[in-house]
Amino acid sequence: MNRNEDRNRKLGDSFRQSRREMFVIVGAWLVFLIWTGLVCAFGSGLDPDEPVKTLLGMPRWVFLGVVLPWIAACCFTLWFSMFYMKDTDLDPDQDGDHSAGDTR
Amino acid sequence: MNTALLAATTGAGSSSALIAFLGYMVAVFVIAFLAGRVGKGKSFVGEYYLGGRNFGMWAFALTYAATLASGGSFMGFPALIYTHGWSLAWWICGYMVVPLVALSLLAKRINQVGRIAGAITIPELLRKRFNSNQVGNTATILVLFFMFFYLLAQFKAGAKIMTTLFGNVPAYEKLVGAVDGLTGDWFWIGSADPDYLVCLIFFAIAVVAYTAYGGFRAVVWTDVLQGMVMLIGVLILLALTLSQVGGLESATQRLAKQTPPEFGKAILETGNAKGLDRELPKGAWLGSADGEIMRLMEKVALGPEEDGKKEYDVLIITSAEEKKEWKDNGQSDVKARIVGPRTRYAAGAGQEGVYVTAPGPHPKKEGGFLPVMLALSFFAFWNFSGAGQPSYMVRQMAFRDTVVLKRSILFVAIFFTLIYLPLILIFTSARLLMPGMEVDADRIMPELASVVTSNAGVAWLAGILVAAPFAAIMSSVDSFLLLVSSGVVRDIYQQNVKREVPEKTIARLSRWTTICVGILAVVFALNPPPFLQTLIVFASGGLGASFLAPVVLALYWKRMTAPAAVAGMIVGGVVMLSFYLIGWAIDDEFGAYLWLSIHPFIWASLANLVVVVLLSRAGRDPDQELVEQYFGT
Repeated sequence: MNRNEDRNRKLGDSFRQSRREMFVIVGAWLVFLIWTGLVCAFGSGLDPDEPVKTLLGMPRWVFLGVVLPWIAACCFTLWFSMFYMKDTDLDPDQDGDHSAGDTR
Repeated sequence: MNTALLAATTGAGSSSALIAFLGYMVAVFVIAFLAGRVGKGKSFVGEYYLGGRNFGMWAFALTYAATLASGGSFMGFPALIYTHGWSLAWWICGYMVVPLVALSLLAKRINQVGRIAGAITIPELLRKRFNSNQVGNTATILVLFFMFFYLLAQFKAGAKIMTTLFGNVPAYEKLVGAVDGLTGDWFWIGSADPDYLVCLIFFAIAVVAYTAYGGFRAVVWTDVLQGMVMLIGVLILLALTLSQVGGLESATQRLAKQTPPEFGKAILETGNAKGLDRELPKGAWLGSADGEIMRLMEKVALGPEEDGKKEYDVLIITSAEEKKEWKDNGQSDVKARIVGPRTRYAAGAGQEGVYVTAPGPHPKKEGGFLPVMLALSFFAFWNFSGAGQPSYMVRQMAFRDTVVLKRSILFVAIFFTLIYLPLILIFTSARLLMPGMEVDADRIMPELASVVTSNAGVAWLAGILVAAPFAAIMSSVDSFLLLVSSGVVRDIYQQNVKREVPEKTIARLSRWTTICVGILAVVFALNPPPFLQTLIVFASGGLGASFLAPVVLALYWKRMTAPAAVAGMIVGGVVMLSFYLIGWAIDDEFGAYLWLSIHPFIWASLANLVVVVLLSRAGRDPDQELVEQYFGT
């Protein structure tokens, strides 16, 4: 296998890994959209006969529909960035002639 | 309500706060100077526009977060929370996954493709990915167009904060008076408030100077400081505000009793001082004989001609609790008499609880501030328009390796959590400390900083708190200035006018372009539209709508072609602009037309995506050599 083929194979592998990660991210985005959307849409309405219900001092719908998923999103981000995302060689042409800031 | 609030709401600054703020500014300049020294002797273009593509976790994460958290986060967003209440928690909650989406979606591939292409700007990356000048030129024009609106909004925000901070400092007041005398009759310039004009020029000189001198490295290093200042400022403001409203539970329960204000006209009478000239600032508190409490919505010069005759716009307070508090503490000796009909909020008028529920009150829209579909589209907007911003994308070309990226994603997630959630708590509570700020809602952040620090007896701390939004604005402005300057020099001049240019010439051109863009932004920012956030959402939405689909597909789809990229970008930008022009025509003020209550960013991005996919499928197969170069096998 010559150097160019090796470079292309490694780049292809890293491209496919990046694409897998992209699908996981879009999936996570969708889950959090649905969570916040459902809780806020059905829990945030105004009921003039009821006093405001709170949790930890904030309106209950905000806690369940915003703060709780926010904490869950942080936990997911921790898992994704530290355990799922793979290291990649960002510069497959490292020994080539492309460098940051060339003026071509 | 105490006198500190009265002073603060009329724009008074304290000298200790000013000193703290100036200390912060000195730190920014020292850092920028050091950054400029470090960059000396290295390749100018790579260093000036991308800092050598070698940033570690702290620099990369904080420059990304600080740039993303712009004047909108600290000026426009607080103004919206104040005006519409807790519904803003839903509006902003898309930020919970912004670090994941905006950073992880593209960062690895952008950095990799950028290195393979040897590109230092996003238009250049696209140009080389498709080997097409048309793609690069289209991208550059769109960046310059939308980014200019972004710059305007940030310049306005920076100048507004300074006007609050300098307040009644004697030397500043003298300068404002002199400038007013000099420019009062000048075309365009004369129509700007003289204090705003002075601050706008100060702000522009400061930020343009260090950006032009130090380039990307200075911008990133100062971003690190500015990011830390933002975080510390928000957390201090949270502690002070919550302690002064008696805790969050108490604040929420009291807020639930509030009702939206009304708008009307009033005739003013000076009473004992009748016949003497009186000046009342915008926001001055007034009372009427029948117990109404109101705030002036304009600055008033009251002489014998106007006294008891002329009508002025006022904001009428309707909540019983707010009325009682202001009655107990007195108002101006000038008495007001409401005349003519009152305008009530289209959504939420007279209803208790509107500030703690969604969709939240709105002065003009009957559906309230945040209908369900709009809330859902903002969840998409923050994430995907963030991912599609060239100013953020270009930062993703600057980190050293994937270890830095992974740590940065986590860091930015924690940073945003500690910024955005506290901001909601702070500015929903702000309604209780500072009623009637609808008269100039964009100033709520610096005004609240003045009030809570004065109340706590630590007025000097206001300088640090005001530095937080100022830091957010500066960290965005410097990045945008650099982006526009790189667009002009690297993507227009070098690609279309003269390809082989000595480094020295590029350096000179880059710095002069940065300065010229700064001057142009000042000229247009003299009379900007009233709502900062509208301008920011338009500009960021336009950039996202133009770039997100073409860049994502350029990085992940081998089949994409150059003509499809050009068409997609144009369609995205034009659709976004069209929705705003329609909105402007319908509402008679600059704002988006919300078809089916969905933000135009979604329609524009979808149109862009469809055009790119259809044209790529219909076109010729892409060059196999290019595909191998950027995707491997």
